[in-house]
Amino acid sequence: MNMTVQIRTAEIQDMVENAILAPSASIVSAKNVNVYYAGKQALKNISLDVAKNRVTSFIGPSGCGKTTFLKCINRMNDLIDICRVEGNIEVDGQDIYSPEVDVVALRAHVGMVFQKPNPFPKSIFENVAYGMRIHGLTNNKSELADRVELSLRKAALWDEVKDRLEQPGTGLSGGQQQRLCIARAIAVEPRIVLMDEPASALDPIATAKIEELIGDLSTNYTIIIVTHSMQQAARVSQFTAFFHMGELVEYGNTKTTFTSPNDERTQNYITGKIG
Amino acid sequence: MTNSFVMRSSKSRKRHAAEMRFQWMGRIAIIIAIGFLVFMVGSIAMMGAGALKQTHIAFDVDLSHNEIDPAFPEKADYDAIIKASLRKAFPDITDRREKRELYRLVSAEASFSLKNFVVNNPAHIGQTHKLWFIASDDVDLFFKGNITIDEKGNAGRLNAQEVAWVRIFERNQNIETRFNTRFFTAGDSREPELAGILSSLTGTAFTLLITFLIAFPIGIFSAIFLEEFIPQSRWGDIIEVNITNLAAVPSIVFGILGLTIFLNTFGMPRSSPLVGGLVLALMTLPTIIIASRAALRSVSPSIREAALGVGATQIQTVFHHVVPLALPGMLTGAIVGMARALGETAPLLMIGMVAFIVDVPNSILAPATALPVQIFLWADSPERAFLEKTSAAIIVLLVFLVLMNLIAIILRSKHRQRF
Amino acid sequence: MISSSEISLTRKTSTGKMLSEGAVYFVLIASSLVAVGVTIGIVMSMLFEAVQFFNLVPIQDFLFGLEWSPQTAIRSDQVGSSGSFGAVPLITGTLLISTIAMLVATPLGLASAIYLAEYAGPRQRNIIKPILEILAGIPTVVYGFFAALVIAPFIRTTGGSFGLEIASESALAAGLVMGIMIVPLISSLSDDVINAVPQELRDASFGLGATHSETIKKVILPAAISGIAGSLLLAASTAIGETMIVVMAAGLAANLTANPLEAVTTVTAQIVALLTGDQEFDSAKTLSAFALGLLLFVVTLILNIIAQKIVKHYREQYD
Ligand SMILES: Nc1ncnc2c1ncn2[C@@H]1O[C@H](COP(=O)(O)OP(=O)(O)OP(=O)(O)O)[C@@H](O)[C@H]1O
Ligand SMILES: [Mg+2]
Repeated sequence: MNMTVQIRTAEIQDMVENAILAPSASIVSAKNVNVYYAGKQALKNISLDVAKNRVTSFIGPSGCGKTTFLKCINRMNDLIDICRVEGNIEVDGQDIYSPEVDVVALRAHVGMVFQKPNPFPKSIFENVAYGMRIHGLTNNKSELADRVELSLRKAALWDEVKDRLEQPGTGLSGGQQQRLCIARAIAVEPRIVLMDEPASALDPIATAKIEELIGDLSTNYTIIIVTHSMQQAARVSQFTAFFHMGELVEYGNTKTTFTSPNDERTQNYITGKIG
Repeated sequence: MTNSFVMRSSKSRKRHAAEMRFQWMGRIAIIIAIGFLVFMVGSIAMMGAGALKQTHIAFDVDLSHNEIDPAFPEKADYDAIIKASLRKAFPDITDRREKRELYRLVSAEASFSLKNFVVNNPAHIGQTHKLWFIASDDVDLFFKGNITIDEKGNAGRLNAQEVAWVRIFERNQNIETRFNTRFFTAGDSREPELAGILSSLTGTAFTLLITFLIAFPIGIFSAIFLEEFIPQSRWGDIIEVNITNLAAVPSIVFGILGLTIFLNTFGMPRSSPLVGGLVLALMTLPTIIIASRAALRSVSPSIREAALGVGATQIQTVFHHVVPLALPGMLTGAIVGMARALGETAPLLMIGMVAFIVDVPNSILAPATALPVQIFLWADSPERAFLEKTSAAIIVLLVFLVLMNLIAIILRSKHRQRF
Repeated sequence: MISSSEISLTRKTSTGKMLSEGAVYFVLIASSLVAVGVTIGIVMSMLFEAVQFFNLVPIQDFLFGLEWSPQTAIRSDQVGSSGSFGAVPLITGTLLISTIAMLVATPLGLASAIYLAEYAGPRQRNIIKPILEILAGIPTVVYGFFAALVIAPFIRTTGGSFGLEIASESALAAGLVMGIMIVPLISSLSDDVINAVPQELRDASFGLGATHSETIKKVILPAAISGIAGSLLLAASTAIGETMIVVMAAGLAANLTANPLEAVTTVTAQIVALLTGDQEFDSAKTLSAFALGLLLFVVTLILNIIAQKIVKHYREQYD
């Protein structure tokens, strides 16, 4: 186990070193985003571009607005009555807050994995098939089964569950449940997957599996991950954004952010002085 | 794939339409339920409003010495005097059938009220006076416009001739409607124009008094014991299961209990508010216990710890410190339970509180009926005129229900403010 | 070991207090046992008379007999004659009216609950919920009056204009009104049940791009199904035990039919009819009311126990 992690880390280090933030390759582009919860400002003037088919991590002390910003990208904030979003966020060059946007389709395009594994109280198969069914992606039974299998394979869960697809997803272990949730999210073929502390409820082995999975997925998907673990951010992401009290303090190449941060606050956070 | 989330496809339009339909299903369900409520209460209120007014008619009454002996005014035949006076008002009527129809215009009560008038005003004997009397229910319905004239010229049970007489009274301004005090001050009667709710209202008051006096102390004591002394014990659980199940027993079963245990075994007086109150108390008990336990639970444990810490016994702690704080909540539960008991009918039928009660009951042992049972009885009466009495009685019942619930709401909000 | 000084300290403060505290304990325990006593009283009050009844009429004739006509059995030569006390038509009548009530109340109650739990804002909730509760607070005698006076004639004339022969005391009228009465029961219980579904499941579904109604239909309701079933069972038990509506708006003649346009009678209506007139506690006619009461009690009790078990289990699942 340890070995894999080390190998992966080395690999990622390599990628990080070569990574650059070319605007042409960005898939999410936020400009001057302000978010308020019932008048209380949670995000202040955030502008950032997220690179396509890369892993970007959001770090920062608790309550600094990471989740809030993540939820802006697939408009999960719409579900909170008191939340108001200002500014401009583009996904694939399209302003997602413009009136002609179909939120439902946007969320199929920008998937989300939550902090706590939240499988539906349905069978493993139905959990993965859920998104395809509601979006009517396929009417064909065998095609549906194929795509469920593919998603479970991508989520590195297939071998563990292939003999019990009809059993409830809630019966899996925490790590398996989280991979099931990832399989469920990627089954609808989103371009972007938002992950809010996906491994925070998991033990180290399950965490390693999830991290490995993130690396694999990043060839086809753009992944934005919120994490409290700087080691994790360093291991999995090419880019890192550091948030502090609703502000985007530092954003860039993960290696640079961790080795030579520009801002004193980033420095303090990384060295454990704030947080 | 790019920009696939801009709303364009017919599929996504369909899904949004389905969403809207689904939301409207919820709205429509609520509108139907509330609409029914408004329709029901509204139409009953409209039917009942008429009962607040009562038709009176006036004619000259000859209180001559021939008929009334001033020494014994109460001995006179006042019925005959009324009839004679009516004949005088319509001298053309000679036919016996027509005369009978004429007498039917005034209520049977007219002779009593005339007697009262004369006995109280003996100076008027020997004079002729224009006096007002309660009209019969048929005249009342017709004059208030509850009944329209059919093609034969009849209005309900009034024939064309009687309608014409009413018109004559009307022309001479000898017929009018007044506020119906009788409805609130009289007991039940076979004659709709004379029937009132005072006897049943008093019966309800006595019954609920018994209910409260029995259910409230037993309810709170039992809640205190279960919540403060044996929480999470096996016995506590058994009693708790018992109480939750008791709360869902059909009310008529409590009536059967009252019939066999209180009436047949203990020989308590049938139809009495005592037995009615007992039965309703047993029925209300689970509500009060459940509410009181919730009230006790809402008292912060630190108060118990503080009292126990200064050396109070558990009983002192509970009764001196916890119960006073929980009392408003308990009282709220009791009022909610009593409001339910106020409208209960079925169990009272079982123990015979369904009698025809003219007199206002004067004790908890006297035969009585209750307001909801009175409603049931009137609803069953064939006379059309009871319709508006029934509706009016329902409105009175609902007003009391609203008042009780308001008290509960006010108590609850006061209680909340204190913490 | 307790030292002597401690003992005297205890004694001094307690002799009188202990006595009065003992009395308080006695009162508390006695009050708590009243509820148990009532349950025993209920069973006893019906059991003895019911046993007497079953001595006159075999229990199988009561439970499976197809004919109910207690009036004829009052004559001495007919006491206990089998066939007159068959409860089946009463049971089917009760079920017919309750089924109609549930068919009305389930969609209305569930749709209201879904709207209240999922769509209504706090302001709307605070207005709508208490208004719906009023429906549950209105005395059933009022519903009975309204059913008999307004709804039944309305159904009869409406049916008549379509050439349908509808009884003036049709099961439909009583069932419809009873259905409205139990709407708030279903809506408030189901509202609680739906609210207990964890927010994470909603988030997961929304995050996948499901619309709100898809989330409700495919995730929330399936997750809440057992709790909802429990609330429906409680409502059904209320419908079965409801008395005044059927006494006032349903018939008194037993009728073995599944046609909602005909008049049927119910267990509760018969109990009232049998026990409000003159009673002879040795006649099968009067005693049969207790057998019916026992039947009603047992059936509603079983429904309630099952419902409470289901709901309790449901709550533990999401605790
Ligand atoms: N639903 C909400 N209503 C009101 N305020 C909220 C809500 N959600 C978040 N906030 C506030 O917005 C700010 C940012 O919250 P957010 O959840 O985005 O922080 P976070 O960086 O994700 O923290 P954590 O690391 O603890 O998850 C906080 O001050 C929080 O209190
Ligand atoms: Mg967060």
